[in-house]
Amino acid sequence: MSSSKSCWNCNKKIDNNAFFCESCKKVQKDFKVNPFKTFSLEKKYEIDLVKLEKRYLELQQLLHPDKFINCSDDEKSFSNSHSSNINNAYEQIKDSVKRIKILLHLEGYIIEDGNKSFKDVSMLEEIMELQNDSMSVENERESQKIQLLLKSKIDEEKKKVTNNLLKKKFEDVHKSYIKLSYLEKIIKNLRQ
Amino acid sequence: MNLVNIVDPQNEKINSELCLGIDFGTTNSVCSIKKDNKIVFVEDFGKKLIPSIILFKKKILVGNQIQEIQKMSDMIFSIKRYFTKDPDKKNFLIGGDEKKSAIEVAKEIFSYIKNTSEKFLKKSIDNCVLTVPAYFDEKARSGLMRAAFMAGFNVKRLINEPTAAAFAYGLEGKKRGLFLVYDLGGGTFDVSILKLSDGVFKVIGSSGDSNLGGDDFDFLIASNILKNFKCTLEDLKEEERIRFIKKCKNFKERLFKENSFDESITVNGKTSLMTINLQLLNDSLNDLVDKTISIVTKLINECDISIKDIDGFILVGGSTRLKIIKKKIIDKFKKPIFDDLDPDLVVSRGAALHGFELLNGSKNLLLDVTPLSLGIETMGGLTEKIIPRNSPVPSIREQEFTTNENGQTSIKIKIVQGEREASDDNHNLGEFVLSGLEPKPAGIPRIKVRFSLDADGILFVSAFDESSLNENSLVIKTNNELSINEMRSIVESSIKHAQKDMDLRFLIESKVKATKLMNEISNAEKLMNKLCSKKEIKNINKIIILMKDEIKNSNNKEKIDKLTETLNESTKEFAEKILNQNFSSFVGKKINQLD
Repeated sequence: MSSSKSCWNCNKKIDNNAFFCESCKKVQKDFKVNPFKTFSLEKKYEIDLVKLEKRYLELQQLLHPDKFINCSDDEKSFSNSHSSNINNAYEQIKDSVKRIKILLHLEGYIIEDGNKSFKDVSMLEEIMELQNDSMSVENERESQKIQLLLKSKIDEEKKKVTNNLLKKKFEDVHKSYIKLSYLEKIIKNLRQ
Repeated sequence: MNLVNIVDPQNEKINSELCLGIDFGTTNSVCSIKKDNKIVFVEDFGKKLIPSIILFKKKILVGNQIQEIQKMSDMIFSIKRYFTKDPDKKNFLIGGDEKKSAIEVAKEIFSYIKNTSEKFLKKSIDNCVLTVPAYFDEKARSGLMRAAFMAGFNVKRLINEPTAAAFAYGLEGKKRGLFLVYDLGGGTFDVSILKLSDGVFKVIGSSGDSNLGGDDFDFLIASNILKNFKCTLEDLKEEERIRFIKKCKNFKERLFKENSFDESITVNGKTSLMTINLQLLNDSLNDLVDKTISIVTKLINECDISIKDIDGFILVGGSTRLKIIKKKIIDKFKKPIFDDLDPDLVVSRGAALHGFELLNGSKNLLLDVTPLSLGIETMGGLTEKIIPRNSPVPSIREQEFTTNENGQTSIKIKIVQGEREASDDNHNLGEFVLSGLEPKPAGIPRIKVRFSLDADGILFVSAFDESSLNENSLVIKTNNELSINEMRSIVESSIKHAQKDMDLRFLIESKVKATKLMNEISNAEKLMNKLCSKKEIKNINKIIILMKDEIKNSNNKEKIDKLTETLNESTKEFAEKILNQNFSSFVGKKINQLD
């Protein structure tokens, strides 16, 4: 353990990413770590959502502010930060579109929001067409049909993401990210 | 055969800490506590429902102390409704010229609740878990919390009403699965979807309307009946109007059990015999009930779940006793309905259960979300969301912003809550100015705004200029009141050093007053250094140190009041100098203009 941190309470050496001090069991100050690490998951696109939720709840069970009601203000504030970080990490990683953004970020490829430019005209046309079709559905049967089509397109795009991430084709992953955010939006509107 | 008593060591803590579960309702409040392994409801004159009404006479009368004979127009009803408007505004005339704010009025009700609970339970009660409508905004939440603090309660946690109810169903009703809580109270409507599993009770999403409830139903029934007399509620004198609406409330409650009855009604001296039946009720309420149903449907869609995944509807709040509501829910969703835990009492029950677990430890975990998006106003009056609705709490998020003019040295940050695009359509939570930025071309400064929403749903905002060496970080309070953290530490220190037979409320008031004054002085520190002599500053600082110590480590109200007075006296000259300074700079300007 090459750790430079020590426990605020008992001064013993602690691991850089330790939530608690091993000797005095006190909660430690929060630290920055990527969401995959938070939940001890492998850094890849396909994740086990059941395992993710289980791990998320185990962490909240330990660190949620409700568990620190009788503690000092410092401990309360540490728990508040940890619990927030875990919540935010969970929100980011469980969503199949946001997860792409994190993976790209970890590869050093930053997506700026509000900058979904369409250099790919054929993709733009495809999205526009799907959007128009979904707006003009007249009954449940038609809606189901389009939803199925959208689902298959989403699955196809997700496969591309997995492959292109392995091949480190980040431009293409970025494109899939944009396409997936639109497809998910259309399907969500259809369900309502 | 001998029966062996099996003792669960977890539940047999002799000195378990007590924590009152308070459901502060628009029409009625309910308090309960977990004691000796069971829930006990506080009774006020033998009643579990304490009307949330108050009458300021020579003595303050609250709840069941108020009898029919008292003049109704003097009473203050439904104070909770004002928390979503402006809880700090002094709106309520309480005799003479004195006016009180919603927070101050509610504080009196909380004091009554505290006294009543202590008398009933024969124990001193300081800790509480307070429930709030899930759809309450931040201002309403912190306002209600402040009122409870001022009454001497140490609020351990704010929890959402539907969440509290679901917690009770999960723990005592052993419910497991996906449930939708439909909570219609006297003044607010909430809906929450929760996943209840062993040891974890997790809110998936919440929605509602903080101004829709049983009170509106009474109003609608009254308006509908008045059509037969060819007049409206506005045509009645205040006293008669209040009585008439109350009468309609009784009709509504009779129809919980009966289907029809005849009643002779007198309005403006005209008497008529009317049949009051379910048809009349349904006609009056149909639109509002439909509105609640559409809020439910929208939330289900938003949470990305399908109605077939929901295991049942949990009905909460007195208004769900109306048959029309049950019928509409069953017709529309075709799902089992659960209302076996008394809908008037279940919220307080859940709060008491949670309070016990908070203070005495537990394996259960309660996870909630924020019902309304939080963000700031950006260029063109648009809302930029920082924490989107239905995010789990607590949540700390940061976002970067920049300037839009060259050489801009200050930036106004307006905090809003709600779902609308235009920031003016959302709730304005407050604004503050970040000044002292280094002048730079537009778009260059990087201003980080940090939103920290805690487990109570209370927001703390700070902002700092990343590019400037001089890190300018400040934590804002959304109004002139003390922050929730300051309030909490005042209440905690007061309880810690409490002596018998001392009124905690007055002590807290003194401490709040003293802390406010100290805050004002520390805000003006720069000016003080400029305008006051070293001797004066030294003197002021000495009093502040004494005062801080007194507030933290003792409970001598007289001493605190005395110090406040001394501090006021010794800063009087300084305050005058500030006034003079403003005046001289004004004069100075005029001379410049003449030049």
